[in-house]
Amino acid sequence: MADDQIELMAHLMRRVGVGARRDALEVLAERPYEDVVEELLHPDELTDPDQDVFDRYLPVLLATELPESPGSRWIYNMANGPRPLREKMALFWHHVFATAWFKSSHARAITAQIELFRENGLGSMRQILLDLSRDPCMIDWLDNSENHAHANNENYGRELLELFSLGIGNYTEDDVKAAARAFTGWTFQQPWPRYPYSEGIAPIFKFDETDHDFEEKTFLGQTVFDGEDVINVIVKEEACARFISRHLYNFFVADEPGVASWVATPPRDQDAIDILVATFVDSDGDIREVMRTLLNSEFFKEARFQRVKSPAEFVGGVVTLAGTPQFPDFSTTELWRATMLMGQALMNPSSVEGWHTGQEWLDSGTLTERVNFAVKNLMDTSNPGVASIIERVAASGDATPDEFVERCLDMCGPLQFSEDSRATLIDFAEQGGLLSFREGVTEEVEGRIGRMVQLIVSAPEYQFA
Amino acid sequence: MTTKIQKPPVLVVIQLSGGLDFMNTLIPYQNGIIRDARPALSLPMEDTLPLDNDLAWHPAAKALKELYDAGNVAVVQGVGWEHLGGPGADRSHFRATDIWHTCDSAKIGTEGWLAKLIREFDPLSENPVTAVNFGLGLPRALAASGVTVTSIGNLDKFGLMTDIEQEEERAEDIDIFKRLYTPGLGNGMVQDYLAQTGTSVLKSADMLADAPTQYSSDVEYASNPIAEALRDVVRVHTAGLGTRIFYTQHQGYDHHSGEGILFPKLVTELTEAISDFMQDLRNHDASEEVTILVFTEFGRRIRDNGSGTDHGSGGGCYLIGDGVEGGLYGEYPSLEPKDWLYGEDLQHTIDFRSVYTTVLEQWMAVDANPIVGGNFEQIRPYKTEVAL
Amino acid sequence: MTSSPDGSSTNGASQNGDFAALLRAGFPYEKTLGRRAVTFSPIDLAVTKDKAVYFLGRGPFIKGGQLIAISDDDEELGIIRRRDLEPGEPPMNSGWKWPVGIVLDAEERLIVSDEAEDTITIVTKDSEIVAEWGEHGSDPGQLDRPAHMVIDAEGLLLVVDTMNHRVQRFTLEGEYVDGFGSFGDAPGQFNMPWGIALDSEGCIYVGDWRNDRVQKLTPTGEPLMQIGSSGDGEGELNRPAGVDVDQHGDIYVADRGNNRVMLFNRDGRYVERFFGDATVSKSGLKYLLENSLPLRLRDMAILEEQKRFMAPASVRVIDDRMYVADYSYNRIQIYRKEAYPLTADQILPHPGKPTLATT
Repeated sequence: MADDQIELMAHLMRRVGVGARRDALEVLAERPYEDVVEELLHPDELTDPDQDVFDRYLPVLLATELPESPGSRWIYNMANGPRPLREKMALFWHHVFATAWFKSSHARAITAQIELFRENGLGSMRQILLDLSRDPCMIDWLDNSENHAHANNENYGRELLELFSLGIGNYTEDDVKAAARAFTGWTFQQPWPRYPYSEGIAPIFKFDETDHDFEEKTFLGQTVFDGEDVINVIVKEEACARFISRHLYNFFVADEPGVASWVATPPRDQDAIDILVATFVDSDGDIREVMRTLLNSEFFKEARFQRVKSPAEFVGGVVTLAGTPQFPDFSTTELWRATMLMGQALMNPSSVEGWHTGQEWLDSGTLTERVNFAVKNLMDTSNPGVASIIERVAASGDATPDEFVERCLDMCGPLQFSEDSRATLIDFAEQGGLLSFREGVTEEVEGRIGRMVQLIVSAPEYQFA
Repeated sequence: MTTKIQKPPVLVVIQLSGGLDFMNTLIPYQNGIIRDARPALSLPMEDTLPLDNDLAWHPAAKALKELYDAGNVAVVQGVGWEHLGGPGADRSHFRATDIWHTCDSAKIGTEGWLAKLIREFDPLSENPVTAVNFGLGLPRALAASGVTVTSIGNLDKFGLMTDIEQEEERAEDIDIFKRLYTPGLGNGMVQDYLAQTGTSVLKSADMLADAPTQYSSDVEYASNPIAEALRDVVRVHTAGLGTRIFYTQHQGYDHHSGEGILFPKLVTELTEAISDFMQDLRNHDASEEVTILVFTEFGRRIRDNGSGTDHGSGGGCYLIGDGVEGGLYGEYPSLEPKDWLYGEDLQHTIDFRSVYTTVLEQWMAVDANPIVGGNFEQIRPYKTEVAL
Repeated sequence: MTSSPDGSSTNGASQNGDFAALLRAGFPYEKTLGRRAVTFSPIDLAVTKDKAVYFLGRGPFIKGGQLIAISDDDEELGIIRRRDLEPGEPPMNSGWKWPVGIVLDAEERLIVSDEAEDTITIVTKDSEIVAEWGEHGSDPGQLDRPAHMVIDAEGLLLVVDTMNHRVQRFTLEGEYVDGFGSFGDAPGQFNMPWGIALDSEGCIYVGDWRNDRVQKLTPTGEPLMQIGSSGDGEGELNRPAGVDVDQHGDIYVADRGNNRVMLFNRDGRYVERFFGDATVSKSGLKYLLENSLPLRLRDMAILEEQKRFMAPASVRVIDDRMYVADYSYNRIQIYRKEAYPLTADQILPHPGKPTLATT
């Protein structure tokens, strides 16, 4: 049943989005791989469904303060929208440029920042850093609003180099100071106070020339004046290409160790990084080009199940498989809450260093949350995704325990399970004997398939993308 | 006079994330240089709570001051480490936290110091609640391969597949889960780690199921994350499951701005929660074996930046408990401008590993050297001894 | 934009009031009621004879809502019902999850719909729950996200049944009477309707939310007129929410997606739009004067846009006053209509064409 092309598409969709259902994969597998990639790389021609329904029932500017509603909308769009890579790139930049709601508790501001990533996440590195440096939420988060011509606040200047573009070891303390000076006066227009009528619309960037240090500075050996010059220098640095390439590799291809150890630990696939770096350099930091190279590369296609799913990927993947929620409703904000309990409160990471990925997502608490969330969403056999799995398992007729497990793994993925895990599932299937549809799709049959799906999503293999 | 406690010693670690401004907690209130360097943070002298002729508590730390006055708080001053990477590297939250967590200031450490301590107590990972973390995600201090830690987001709803209502079905599913998560051979490191995690989920869930219902208390904690986390520490500690290490974080100390407003709120929450926690432990006759260690990744710059302070050094720690001999330990760093590190920071006067060593040797009764990676001078902040 | 020809029925014998035309003198802003935390996210409102505003709001958290009364002088009169939540936690207490519509019956009891629970609740001003009914589903008499409501001349309750794309009529006890409408964009069909109102002749007006129009229907649901089309221009609508009709047959639409309120005349002809003119309410002023931080921030900010509506959810006209539930800005704006009905003797008949001879 599962052929190579479908398995490849399943892999692609797990990485550029949160995974796709079996029926959708079959449609995609009819097309050449490169065409699908091209469509993913050009999301601007599509629109997301049901955004008006969110505005009606779950608007951003609610009385509530947590980014529960925009965060849930984001996961919903990852799972339900026609342009997953757009959302996924936004998530990528959110991982790298981790900014949190909790400092300002200004939901509109963090939502606007994510919207920037959404709109231009596949754009040029230069524009992305420029947008970032002008984003009021970032300016507030790293205190550039307090970076004055005659009293520098180095926070943004430092993190721009350390965490956002070059990585430790590729600049000096003097470069940090020069960068900080170059960004003086990059601030934002004061938004309204929350009382009496709410903080209103998203804040806007403002360049305060009376508070800008116009003197010449030396940054990475070059003469610069303002923040734009600093960014122009940064994006030409090979260190920037390497830093972003390794981030992209870690996010899209295979888990790398934590960023803090990158100085000391070489990448797990130096050749792959070199290929990405070359594209980055040749294209002048065009992220769409780098992503095209990445997604069409052999190292990407071969890297099956090499990443631990992030909570957003896990939650989005489960609701995609279950077919829940189909339409924004009262329970939609559970999406954000679920990722939060799994250690990834979207729009609210605990610090500027962002989330630790890979196996660090998993501990006994977050694994419990994952399994419980998956089981909760898949236990109801009337959920459209589960119903469709049942229907399709039934379509192939009676199944031996072996075939039963095989078909379910196929319909939930296709997934690759270890021999041990397979054996465990087959043992369970054997308790019920032959899966027979002689009397049609009975409640008992539904129950057996439903249970099997629950067990599959509880398994260790399901934690990997 | 020293007394000996008979119960196994317990360590509660509270990490103040973001970098607590130690100079604003224990303020050199008589010092003109500091007053001039920190105009945005200067409090009227009469508002501070003097400790001696040089130092005063920030008024928001009133609850801690009361514990201090009662002799239950050892303040370790000037805690830090030699900046091998220069100020740039060591002023990163990321790096500084890592240094504290792994005890390695020269390179990126791989094993958490508390994880090594857990291994000491439970080398075969027999008790998954030897260490319990309250909060989401596992701090690096507790992480090392082969070490199991139970992380609890919500103690009241802790367990696997709690949505399956049919008990029989749930039991069966959990049984299969157990098989699926049996550590295999040669499946790879991540898979092994995952299998281990799955196994500990089951065990810890069993153990913790009754802790919330067994607990009752007259202490009314405030409704904030740190207070609730410390209440949950009491709930698990008094359940007698053999937990030796508790860990939790209090977040939000990165006060680059608005420190005058934000700092007092956090410090009030923290110190009142600690005070309630101590009271609760005493009410349960469960305080004598407990030491609290409060630390933060770094102190902050001497000069304020107009409304807050930037990343610096020269932080501090607190050791709190009934076994503690209250007082000041270590030396407050020199405030003379000629002694300032990089011309803007406090020099540390004691290495953070000295504090760890002290707690490990004198309270947890283990050999500290392999855990902290060397021999470090100790302070003497305990009046009771742990019976070995 | 209207399906009825411009000016075709302004002649003499009229529907909706015995007058030939209206002299529209103005529609000035009168005042603002409420503030954040008091009137969180107002989604609908009702006004009693003594001018108390029964304000129905979402919040303080996503999953909750409250009904509170405030006087015409912006004093809090009391909380009728409120769902309290622990921050970030699931609902703890009873109460409405997603209250959305409120109407008064003849005895001024408060009837509230809940679009998450699919229920209708009747509660007195003293918080006593008289009745609660409603069942989720798509069969006749069942509900799927009930929205705004109105009571007809016979005392029956018309409920907009959003996800079933229809309007249903019930007795106040919850007994199903009849219903009309189905999914679609043809006249008489709906796509996730929201608001509802009646004119003096019993005709029904429905805010046909996802079709970007208001439909006028006979009392039995036969389509009479479609008002508005998608867009943000004159007479156009972007996801209209609440609607109302006043004594002159003027039709008010909370044009939510365009952050404005639209006014059409009884023939469906576009008359004018309101963008909002809010000033600081009495309660808002009190709050500000006691808090130095917002005072300072207001002084630093550009406030021009703060008077505008943001996502208005409901418009209710009582006599000559228009109340707008200014959802995202947590307040209610009140405007006063100044208009004089004209007899056929006073105004020339419609010439049937525009003219440049304007004297």
